Amino acid sequence: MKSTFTLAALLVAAFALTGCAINPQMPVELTPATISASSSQKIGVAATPMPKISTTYPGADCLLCILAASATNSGISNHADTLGLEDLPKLKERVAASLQKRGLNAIVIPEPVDTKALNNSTGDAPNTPRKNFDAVGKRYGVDKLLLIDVTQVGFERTYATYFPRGEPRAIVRGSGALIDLKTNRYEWYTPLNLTRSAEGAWDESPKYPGLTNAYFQTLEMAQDQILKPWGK
Amino acid sequence: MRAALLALAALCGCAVAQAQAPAQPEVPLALKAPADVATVEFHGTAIVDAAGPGAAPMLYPAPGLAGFAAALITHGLINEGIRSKEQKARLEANDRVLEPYRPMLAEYKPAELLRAAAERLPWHGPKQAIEPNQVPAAGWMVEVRPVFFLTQDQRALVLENLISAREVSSATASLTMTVRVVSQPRTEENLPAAWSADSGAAMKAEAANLVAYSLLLAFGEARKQADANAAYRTVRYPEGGVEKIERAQVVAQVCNRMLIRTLRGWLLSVPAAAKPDEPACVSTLPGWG
Repeated sequence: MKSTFTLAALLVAAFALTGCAINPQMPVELTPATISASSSQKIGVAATPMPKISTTYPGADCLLCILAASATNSGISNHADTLGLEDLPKLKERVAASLQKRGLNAIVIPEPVDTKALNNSTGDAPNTPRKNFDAVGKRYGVDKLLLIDVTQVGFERTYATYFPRGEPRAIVRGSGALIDLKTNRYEWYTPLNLTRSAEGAWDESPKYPGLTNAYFQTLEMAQDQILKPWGK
Repeated sequence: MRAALLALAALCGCAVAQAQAPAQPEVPLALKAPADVATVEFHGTAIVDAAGPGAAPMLYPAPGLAGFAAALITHGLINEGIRSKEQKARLEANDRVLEPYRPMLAEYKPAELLRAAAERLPWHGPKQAIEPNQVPAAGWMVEVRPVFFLTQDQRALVLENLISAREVSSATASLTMTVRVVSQPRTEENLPAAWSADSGAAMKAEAANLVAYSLLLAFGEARKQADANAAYRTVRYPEGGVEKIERAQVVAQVCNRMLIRTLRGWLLSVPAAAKPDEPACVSTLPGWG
C-alpha cells in the first residue's frame, strides 16, 4: 500500500514537471536545397505588429519589488519613450529585396500578421509552428511565409527581488522564420535574443548616451541576423 | 573664448582654417601629461558584452520588519560585492591581450609619447613636451590624458584622449574635449612581432600618430559649433577585424577616414572606405591616415 502510494506520488510529480515544460523552438538552418526548392514558389514577407519600446525588470517578482525597480529606473524608462524603432519596421521590405536579388519570387505583405488571431497547429512534429499560418497563405496567395516576429524591444535590468543583478542592457527579442504553408513546417528559424550593455558608464541621465548607443546597436544586430542568411 | 579657438585652429595644420586665416606669427605649443600617470596607459578592448552577474539569491528568513530591513541591507551589500569582483575580473580578462607587450609598456613614459606626438603635429611655431610640474612662459598649453586600447585581435589601436587647451595667459581652458581615434587595421601575419619589433617602435609610432591626429581634430573641430539639429544615424566602421556600430552625427569624411560625433559629444575618427570618385587626397596628418 505504502509503496503504491509512493509510486503514485512520484508519477504525479513527474507528469506535473514534464507537462508544464514547453520545448523552445530550436534554430533551423537555411539550406541551399530550401532556397533552390523555393525558386518556383511565391514567398510572402511579413512581420507581426511591432512592439512598444519597453523597460522590464525580470526577477523583480513581487509587487513591491516591481514598484521599487520602476521607481529606481524611471529615468531610463522615460528616456525609452523618446526613442524610435529606426529601420526595424522597414526590415520586411529589405528582406524581400534580398530575396528578389537572389531570383526568388518574393512579395511584401503590407499588413502586420496578428498571430493571436490564427488557429493553433495540430500535431507535434518537430519544427512545427505553434500557430497554423494556412489562412495567411490563402489570403495573400503565397506558398511560403517569411515571418519577422519582434516581441520585445527596449531595455532590461535583471533583479534579485529588490536588488539589481547588473547594469541595464538594451535588448531585442523575437524570431525570423520561413514557413512552408503546405506542411506548416519551419524551413528556416532563427531566434532573436540580442542584448548589449553600455560601453563605459551607463548611468548618464537624462539622455543615457551609452545605453542609447547600445539600443541602436541591438536594432542593427537584429536586422543583420535576419538579413544575413538571405544575402545582405 | 571663440576668438581663442579660432586662433588655435589657425595655428594648427588644419587645412580649412589655414586657407581662411591671415598670416600668423609663430606661437609656442606645450604638450603636458597628467601628474598622476607614471607610464602610458594601455588596456585591451572589451572581450564580450558585459552581462549581468549571478547574484546571491535572497535566502535568509526575516521575521518582522526590523529583520526584513536587516536582510535587505545584507543582501544588498553581498550583491554589490559580487558585482565589483566580477567587474574587476572582466577588466583583467580584457587586458590579457597586452601580455606580450608588458615589458615594453612598463618602460613607456608619457614624456616619450608626447615628444613624438609633438614632432608629428603640424603647428605654426615651436613645439615641446613639458613635465607635469612645468608651466610654459607663453603660447598654448595642451593637457592630454591619453588611454590606449589594443583590440582583442591585436590588429588596431584605439585612442581615447581627454584634451584641455588654454592660452598660458588665461586661467580657464578654451577647449575641453574627448576625442577617440581608431587606427587602420594592420594586416601582418605575426602581429605581436610586428608591434614589438625594435622595442615596440611600431606601437609607439602609431600611438604618437593617434595623439597628434586627435589634437588636430580637436583644434579643427572646436572652432565649429556643433549643430544640435544635425541628424544622428547609425554608422558602421572597422575596429581591427571587428565591425563596430555607433549612433552618431557624421561630421566629415575625408580620404579613408570618417569623423563622427557620438551621443556623448565625443569626436570619433574611424577608418572608412575611400569614396570611389574622390580625387587623390592629402591626409591632415602628413604620412599617416
